[in-house]
Amino acid sequence: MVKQKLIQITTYFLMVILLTGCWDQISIEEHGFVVGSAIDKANDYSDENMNLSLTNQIVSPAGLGTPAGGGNNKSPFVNVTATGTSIFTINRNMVQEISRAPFYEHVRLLIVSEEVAREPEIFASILDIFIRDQEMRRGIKIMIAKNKAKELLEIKPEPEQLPVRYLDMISDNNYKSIDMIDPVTLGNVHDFLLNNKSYVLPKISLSENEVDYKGAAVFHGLNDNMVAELTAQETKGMNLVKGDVNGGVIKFKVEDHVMTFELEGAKSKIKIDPKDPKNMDISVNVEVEGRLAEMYGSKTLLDPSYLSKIEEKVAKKIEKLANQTIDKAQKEMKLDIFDFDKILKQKHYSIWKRIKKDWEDGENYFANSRIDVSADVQIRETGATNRAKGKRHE
Amino acid sequence: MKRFKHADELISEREIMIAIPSFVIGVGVLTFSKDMAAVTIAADGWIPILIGGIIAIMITWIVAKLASSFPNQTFLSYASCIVTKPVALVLTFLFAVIASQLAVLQIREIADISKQYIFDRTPVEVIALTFLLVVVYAVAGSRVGLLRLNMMFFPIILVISLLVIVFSLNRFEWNHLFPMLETDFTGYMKGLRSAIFSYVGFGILWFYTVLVKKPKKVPKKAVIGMCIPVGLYLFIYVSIIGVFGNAVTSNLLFPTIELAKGVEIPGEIFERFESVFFTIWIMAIFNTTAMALDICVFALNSIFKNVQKYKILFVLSPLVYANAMYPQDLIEVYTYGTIVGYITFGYTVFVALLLLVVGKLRGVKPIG
Amino acid sequence: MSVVARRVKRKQNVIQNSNKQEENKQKENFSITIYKELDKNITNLKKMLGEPIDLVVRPFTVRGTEHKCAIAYIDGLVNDDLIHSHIMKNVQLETERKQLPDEKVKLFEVINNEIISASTEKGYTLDDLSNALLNGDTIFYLDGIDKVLLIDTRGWESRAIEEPDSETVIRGPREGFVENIQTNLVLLRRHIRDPNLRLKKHYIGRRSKKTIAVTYVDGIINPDIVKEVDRRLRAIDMDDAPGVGYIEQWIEDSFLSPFPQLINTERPDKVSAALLQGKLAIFLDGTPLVLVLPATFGNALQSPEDYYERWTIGTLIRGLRYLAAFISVFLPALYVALVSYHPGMIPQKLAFSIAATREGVPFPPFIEALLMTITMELLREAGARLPTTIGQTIGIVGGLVIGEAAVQAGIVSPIMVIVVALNAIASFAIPSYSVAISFRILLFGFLIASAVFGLFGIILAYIMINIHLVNLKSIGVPYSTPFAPTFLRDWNDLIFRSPIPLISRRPKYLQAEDEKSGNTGGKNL
Repeated sequence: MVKQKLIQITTYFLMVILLTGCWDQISIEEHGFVVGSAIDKANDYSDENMNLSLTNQIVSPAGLGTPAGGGNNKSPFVNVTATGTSIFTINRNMVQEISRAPFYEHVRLLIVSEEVAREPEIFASILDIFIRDQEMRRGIKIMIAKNKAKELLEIKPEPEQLPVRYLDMISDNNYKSIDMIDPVTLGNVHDFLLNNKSYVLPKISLSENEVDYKGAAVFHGLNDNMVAELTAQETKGMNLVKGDVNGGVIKFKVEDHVMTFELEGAKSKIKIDPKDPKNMDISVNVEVEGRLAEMYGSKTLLDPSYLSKIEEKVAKKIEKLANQTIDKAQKEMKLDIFDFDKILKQKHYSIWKRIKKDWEDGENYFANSRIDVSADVQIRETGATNRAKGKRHE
Repeated sequence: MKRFKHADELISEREIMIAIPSFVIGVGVLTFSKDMAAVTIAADGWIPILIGGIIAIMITWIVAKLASSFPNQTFLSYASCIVTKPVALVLTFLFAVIASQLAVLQIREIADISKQYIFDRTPVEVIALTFLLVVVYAVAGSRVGLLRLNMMFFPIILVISLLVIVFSLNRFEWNHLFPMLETDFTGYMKGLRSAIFSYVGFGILWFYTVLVKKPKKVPKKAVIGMCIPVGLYLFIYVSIIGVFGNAVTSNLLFPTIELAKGVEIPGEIFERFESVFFTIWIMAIFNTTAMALDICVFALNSIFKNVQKYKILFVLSPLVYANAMYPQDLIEVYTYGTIVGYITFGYTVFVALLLLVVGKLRGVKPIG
Repeated sequence: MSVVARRVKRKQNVIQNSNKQEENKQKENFSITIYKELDKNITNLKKMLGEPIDLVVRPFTVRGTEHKCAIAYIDGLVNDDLIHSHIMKNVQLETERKQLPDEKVKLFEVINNEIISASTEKGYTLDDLSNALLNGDTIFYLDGIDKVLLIDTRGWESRAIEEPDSETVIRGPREGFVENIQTNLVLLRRHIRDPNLRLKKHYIGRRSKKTIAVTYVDGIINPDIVKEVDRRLRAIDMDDAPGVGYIEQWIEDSFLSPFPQLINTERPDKVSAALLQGKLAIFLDGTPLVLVLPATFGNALQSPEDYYERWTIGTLIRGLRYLAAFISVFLPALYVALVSYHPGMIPQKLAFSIAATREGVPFPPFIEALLMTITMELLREAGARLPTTIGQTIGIVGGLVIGEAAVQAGIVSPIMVIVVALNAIASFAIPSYSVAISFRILLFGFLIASAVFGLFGIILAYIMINIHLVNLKSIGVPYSTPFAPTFLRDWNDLIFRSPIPLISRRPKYLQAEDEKSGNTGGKNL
């Protein structure tokens, strides 16, 4: 029995060692760590030859410097661009350009230029490889660049060393603003693509070396191309309707004094009355809480009537913002960017099944529905002081 | 004088309680949500999972009751008592064939998934061979040791599944669970069909009950054991739907691994949790494979009494390997898996009914 | 068990062989029987031992009679005082006062029963004599009697009782076993004052005839363990047992296993706790180490210290030790797997800094790890064999100078140095040397597995180790218990160490006869 065991064990080890050749072993420093990618139209793009260019930001770890070693003069990253008709061929071309094979497991960011996003169907096909390849994470953030996406990877950010990390952090930190939408990940987009419904992605632009992360790009669900965009103000309205607010400010005027209201949270209650699909009633009630961050003028805030007056003004402003966006969505874009369809699906499934096809297309029930917005505002605090400025002698 | 009970070649009823979920939980967990989401709406898949679970628990109880009413008898011996010996031999042989096919499937699928998630260039053949060698090493050891191995691995498997579920809670969206109960009847039936295949595993009771010290306790413990995968499947399914939504889930090849992929460990000690999850899940798949192969050897050994266990094993394993490498691509593996699932389930139920009915008709009294 | 069976068979052969040897002896000029004539006996004895220089034979006559008698002993093995005061003096003085019978047989009995006050045995063959002589006994011959008296006069230089170096504790007794088995058994008795404490004597070693004592507490221990140990001890056949390691290797269940299947200890408190739990201890003369068995995997990571501290501390220390075990087995393998197979699993920033430090290192991570761990082993081995003062120098030279220089020269990356150092520290945190060493063996196994298959290899290797563990037994008790077979009750003293008053039962896996224990017995080694 002992002999048997010995033979067993030795054969096992021999087989393991002889049969394998460490096929997949690549030392960590031999990887070209891609942290972010940008997709643009290639210079020779034409309708027959849909050449795209992919720029990968590849980190050169030695350039990052070690905490103790301090900086050397090596650049912390290299941007490598390659062109081709599909991402896969681009990748193959790229391998010839650099010594280290691109390694995508650390990708954080994918920027697609507006040009590319506006072409029908290309956007979805680009994303296919990102979703399909198991190296990619579903948490990769996707942004739409106003101009060339590549330029965004070339900024010189301070104090970060990597442009991608800078962009990534901006999108994370700015979630406390209602001028922009929450970062959208690859996983979210996968969901959007599968549901054939319009969706919104964050927009980013570069003006005079300043990164501007505001506004949003609206995509049509059928062709998955960008069809419209929302300005910062319009994005605000959309976020308020969706109740998708973690923070942000609203400026308004009371008796000619400019005041700033800081949102601490908003909830929106959406009720849909789907009895008559051709003429649906959608009521949106936005409940906002927040504090007065800044006020010009010297009136006391301890006066309840004055406070309620302010609250009313804020509510008005919110309604105005929301209606502005709703108008645009219904009349210009004719796309349901507020995800009302989700509520229909969840709460009125049988009706939704019937009208699904005609919600954004065909009859376009969305554009014909009546949307009514009301806002309730609660000012929780007024700050540490009643007045910052003494009363003028009147 | 006291004997060294635990050193005997017998197991306690607790070990059989863990053996059942260890056998049931295998590759199936990684894929079942996809099939389920495809045929149901939103999170409605939980209903077929639950009903399928209850059916599986009932069958488990029947099998356990039947097997435990013949204490200290192997399947072959009590089967030949009820239906004649030649029939019993055929039944046992078919069990051996089915068990070997289950092992084949597990080996093939683990090799494919490993290839996809962990390896890039390493050939599937090598991955499968290495895995099979470890399985053979386990089966070559004592049978009781194999069942005890379940006790070592199962808690780890449960913990890692719970970790994945808990760390996914922050991505959980209630909206994804609605609308509820909108699936039509055919959808439920289709869901039930795939749910039941995920629960195939009660067949091990036919063979392992003979090893249990107190067989009378087996039915109760087996039922408890069967409840574990039912609960786990429910939790995993609901979390997956909650995180991804129905549409995405039905388009992911391995939703459970993708669920783990999104997990972010607080403190960011390491990333890509799916590698850890899958690595640990290999233990679950190993348990299933080893027990399947062991039952195959066990069944064959009860037919060929004079042949050594090692000889059977060493003849069998190359066959299993060749068989596992036979399907050409994922789709073939998938179809093959469905067929084996059907057969295993059907056959286990058939044998249970056959033994019950014939036993009643011929009035075979259980001994003891 | 077949190994043991084969050993028993071999043992029978040996007995036949030794019969042949005795025949040979008779062919030479001496005979093994004891004659009535004193001179003949003494010549026989001298011839058998080959007239060694340290054999002292002192003939004299019983005072007041004509009876010739003699004593023989080996110089240095006996206590000279005893010989002078108890034998010579008594035989000379006492005989004077007493009315001695004239008949020789009666005289012999009187001397045996009344005059010599030390413990005596009777010897009938020359073999008895030589055994006794070499054990430090003194032989008393009386002319005309074909029997001899064997008087226990053992006494030689022995080390003082000190705290064992290899197993120090902070809050616990400071005594350790010594090389003298008598002293050791006394130390044990002082811990367990129970009439049921059994000490069974065996002789081991065909030539060295070492005494070993099998000790256990009757009424607690499962008799099967005693029987099994007895059977295995009988199968032992070797010339000498210089240390318990020899016995361990004879009686362990599997010599292929990397795990120690018996516990070695120098601490009386540890042994007594184990005995009260239902275990068995084997003492060997000439070594301070005692074998305790059966052992389980859980025992490998326990130290008496766990029980001397309060339970919170005890539990935390246990947890720390399991962590140490994990690190000492897995860390380098995990590092190699992550760095060369799954860089995606390393957090982004860390991945970049590892990549930056590895830039320019000429070896792949596996070779790097292998180099460093082997260097570590060399340092450890070198340090262990040197006197403490030089040993420390080795540590400094090795750890600081070589590590620093290797990094500077770009042969290894600094992170690898951290990994290996952490790994070494973790393995020193394991309380038992033999366990720590076997973990180091596993480390190399895992390292190879991870170099070949990455995480997949590590998990397969882990599964293999577990398969081995569940199949392994220590004197019939499964090694992996109470993990599997699971005894949930025993988990109160496994990773979690519950308060002493709550450990009210002896471990279930030992199947003790008396399951209930006083609080003291709850100690698990």
